[in-house]
Amino acid sequence: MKKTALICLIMVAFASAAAAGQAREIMEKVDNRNDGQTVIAHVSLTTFRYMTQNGKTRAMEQARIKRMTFVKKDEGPREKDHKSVSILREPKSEQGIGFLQYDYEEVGKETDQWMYLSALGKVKRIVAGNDNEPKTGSYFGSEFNYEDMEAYNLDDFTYTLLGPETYRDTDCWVIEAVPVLRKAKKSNYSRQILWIDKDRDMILKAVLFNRNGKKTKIIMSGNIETLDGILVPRKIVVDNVESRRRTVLLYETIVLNRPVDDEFLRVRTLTDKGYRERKLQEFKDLK
Amino acid sequence: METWMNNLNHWFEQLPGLLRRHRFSVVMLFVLITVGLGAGAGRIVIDNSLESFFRDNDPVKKSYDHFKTVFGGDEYIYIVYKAKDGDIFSEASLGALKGVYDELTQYRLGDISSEPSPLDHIVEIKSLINIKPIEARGDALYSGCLIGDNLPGTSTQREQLREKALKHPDFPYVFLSPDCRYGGVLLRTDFNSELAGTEPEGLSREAGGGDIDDHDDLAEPLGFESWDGKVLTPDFKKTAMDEYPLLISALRTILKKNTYSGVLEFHPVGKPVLMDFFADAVMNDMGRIMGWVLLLILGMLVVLFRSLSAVVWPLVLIFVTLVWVCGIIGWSGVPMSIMFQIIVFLILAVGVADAVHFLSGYLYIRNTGLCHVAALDRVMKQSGMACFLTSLTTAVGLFALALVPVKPIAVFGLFSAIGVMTAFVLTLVFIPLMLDVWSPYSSKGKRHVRVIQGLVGHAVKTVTGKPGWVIAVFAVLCAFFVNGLVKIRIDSDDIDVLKKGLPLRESYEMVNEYLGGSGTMEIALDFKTADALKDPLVLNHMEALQDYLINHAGSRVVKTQSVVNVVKESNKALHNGDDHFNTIPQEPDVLAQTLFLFENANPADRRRLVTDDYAQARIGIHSKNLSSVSALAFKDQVEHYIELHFKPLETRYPGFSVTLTGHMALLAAMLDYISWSQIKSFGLTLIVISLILFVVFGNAKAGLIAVIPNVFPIVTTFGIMGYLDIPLDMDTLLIAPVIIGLAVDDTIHFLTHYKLAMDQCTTLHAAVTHSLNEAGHAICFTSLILASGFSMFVLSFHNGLSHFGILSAAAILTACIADLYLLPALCVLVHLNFDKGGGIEHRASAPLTRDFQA
Repeated sequence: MKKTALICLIMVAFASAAAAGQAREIMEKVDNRNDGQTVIAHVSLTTFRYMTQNGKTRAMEQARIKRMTFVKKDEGPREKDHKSVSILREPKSEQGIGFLQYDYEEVGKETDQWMYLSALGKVKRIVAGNDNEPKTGSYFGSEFNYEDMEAYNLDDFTYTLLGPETYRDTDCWVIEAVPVLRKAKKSNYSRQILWIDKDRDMILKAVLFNRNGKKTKIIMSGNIETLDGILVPRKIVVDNVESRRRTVLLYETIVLNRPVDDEFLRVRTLTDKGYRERKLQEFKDLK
Repeated sequence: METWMNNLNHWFEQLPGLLRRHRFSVVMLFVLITVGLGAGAGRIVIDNSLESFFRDNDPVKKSYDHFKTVFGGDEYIYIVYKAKDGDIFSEASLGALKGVYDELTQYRLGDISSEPSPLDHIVEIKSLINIKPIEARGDALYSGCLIGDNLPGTSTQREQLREKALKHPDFPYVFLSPDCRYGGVLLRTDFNSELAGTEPEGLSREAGGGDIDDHDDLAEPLGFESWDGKVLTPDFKKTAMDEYPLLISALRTILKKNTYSGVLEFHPVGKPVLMDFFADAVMNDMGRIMGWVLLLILGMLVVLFRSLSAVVWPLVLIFVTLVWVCGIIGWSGVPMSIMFQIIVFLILAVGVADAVHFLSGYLYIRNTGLCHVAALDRVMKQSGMACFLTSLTTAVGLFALALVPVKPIAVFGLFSAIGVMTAFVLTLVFIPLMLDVWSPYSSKGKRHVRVIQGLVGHAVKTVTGKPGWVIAVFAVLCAFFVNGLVKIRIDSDDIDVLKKGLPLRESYEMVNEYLGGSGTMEIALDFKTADALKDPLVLNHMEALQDYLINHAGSRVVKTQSVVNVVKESNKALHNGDDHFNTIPQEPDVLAQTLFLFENANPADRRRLVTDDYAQARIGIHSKNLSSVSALAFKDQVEHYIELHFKPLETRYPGFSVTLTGHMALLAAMLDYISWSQIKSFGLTLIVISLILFVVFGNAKAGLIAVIPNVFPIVTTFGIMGYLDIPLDMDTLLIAPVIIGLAVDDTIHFLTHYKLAMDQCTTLHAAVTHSLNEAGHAICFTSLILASGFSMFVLSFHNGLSHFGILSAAAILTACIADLYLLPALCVLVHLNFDKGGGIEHRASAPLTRDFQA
């Protein structure tokens, strides 16, 4: 009897190890999926509060829309460092506000960020400090925070395969990702559950749990299109289930893999409107 | 009426026989009910928070609730800490603070179990460790934590840190005292502020399914239906009462660790702490006070009856009544306040009084030579009606309180009225059965309580001898106390009610003395136009108001917080920390972009200050603790200022509104309610009781006379309060209706006997003498029980309850004196003869009957 129990235990242990290994493999595939070396896009961010009454969910206020131009380029040996520039076009009072951001794959290397406030004509480097604290900032006042927008570092998490599931008529793997201690200390989330499209190696949905273990956000990818052979979710929805606010990020126009000068990803792009608009003219055929 | 009363008398007389025939079924039925109700007694919850005092549909409460739906819940725990070495910036103090902070923020690190922890309710922590000043250094904006992970290693670094914290406009008085001996940690909880209703519960870790998005149509622009223009208000989950003690206990476990408590002395305050304190303190207090009351009752019963059964049976009755009433309260799910103690006491007192009346009546009749069965039938007939009437009048007095708009008072009125009637019913049913089983009768005969007997004798002599003098003395006393009554101060203070020396009170005193104060008020501004808060004109007005709040004469405001504070801080940071730019930018675009910086850096903080559409904002006010009166004066002052100075905004934002809400606004509203409730409940009780007396005695004169000795104790008590400067507050407010309900019992007993005596006696004096001798002893005895019971409340931790107890005791004794002297004197003076003894003359009485039988 004892022997059988022992064998069962060993089998369970092996199965778990195998599931963890398989989960990691799946995540590597997701990580390695080609998402283009550069992105040039016009993006809208629509944010609103919602509520559910009698089983029906609806917006409970007029949605606020921000529109921006977004340019991103992958760099580094594994193309895992990112440089991006975002310039607000709407609303009028915030027109011209811009962010320049450098994200690094290297563990512990902090993001570099510059902000340009057009009404003041000032560029400021934003230093968040190297604290073991979750980042509080939001991406242009939306429900996305900077952590949601950061590059995903595979080694920041341990993975467990929870099993297969059909989500939105798509065969998915459901994987739980738990941050390793180093990451957990500065993350807003204590764990995530991911729905990964088996065929396209793409995260279709992520449920995020806050540091108190409560479900806080759901991030969904939709309107998936293939552009120049690359899969692009043109709509990303983040649902803050705690505050009942939702932001819909929509790529209104987007082109991939166009060459972008390193020069464009510098502070000058924020401050010199003429230069910036001239350069953007080169990508007129945004789809 | 007479027939109805006769029928009822007859029914009471028949009752023992009926019960005897069905005793097994009756006992079984009552045992079953007792067990069933008893199971609910454990469900009683205590909520003594200021918010719980208001009914849900109260406009003041609704306005506060609305504020919370717009800007989020406000149930904070504020942990004040005192550095034992006198410096919160010492190495040891900072180390301990960091330790506590880490424990509170990282308790789930490495633990991803779905097991809930009480600490999950803490959704945000702010302390010197993680508050984030925006700083400018060269072209960089720093928004890191004040201390963060790396504690300063040298004293120079610590001094720099101290300077930085003290210089910040918003940190002193919240996170540190100016002398750096005290610090504060702010914990925001999700109590009563979690949005209700949309999330399917029970998402398992494995499945993660069942999310709302599963039915979303991502092809739709927003994922689901757009806004249809209707204003919708979200609901919040109501926090279960037992969540508070769980969180506080988890918190205390951390704070008590030697590593921290050896260095810092912690004093948590805030609503969750108060809730936890009251949940515990009320029950402990009650156990102690009721223990003494029971002991007292026990002693009195022994003195009065000197029979074991006469002690055991009333105690059993009280116990069963308590189980019933606690069960009814528990099953009803209605939260109790501190007044729960008074309900329990009233049940004890009234239960004993009922039992004493039946037992003494029974013994009196047995001593006249009647057998057990006949004596029982007779006492049921005589005392049944009297007890029914006294219970009814007491219940009516109490029930009048149910109409008061202050929730705990209404709840108290309702359940104590139920309790009083339950005590009566149980006494009525069980006393005959109990006496059948074990009777206290002993052939040894009569008992005397000399002091009481002496008092009654003196009353008889005085009243019959000098009724005019008696009335004159009472009139003078009345005038004296009316003079005190007009001086009475109406006020309510929820910290002052805690007795000095209690750790919680000391904590609050610390907050008021060294930090930002425990009084809070909110000013909610709604401009009804999107982006109004991006208008410099609006922010200028808010700034002027905030300046006024702090700087006006006699201000007790220590801190104000609004979007203005962050705008000024951000503007200064954007101009390289230049103090000249600690201002509101006057160009709209610059202001909008300064706000953008804040929103981007901390959207959660922004939401608590200004709405997403920038149409509504709030100004949070921290002041030294204020009582109701000062809160009301302050509120009026602020409203006056707004009316005068916010006029220019009307043209640009027609229909904009400014609402004052929050703790102080609730306190101010209490003031109105207390004075209004007092008049309403007291007046109503008086009218209803007069009506009952009129109906019972069938005589308007009797009804009117009966009211006078019951008003006298109230005037006396309030007069004493006026002279001693004891405020009329939530607790002392109860004195009038409770006392009148209880005191009128003695009046009824006297008048009942007096009315019967009128049939037997030839003179008014004889009737008065006879009835005083018959009823005087019981009147004195029950008054003594009640007064000494009430005085036990002096042991309470709660000043309000102590005042209530002492003053009620005084009122009961005064009522007793008034019933012994004033009432008979009035009867004599106005020739109250119930239209029976037309021939009765007002002349010297028959010899007094001295052998009063208990």
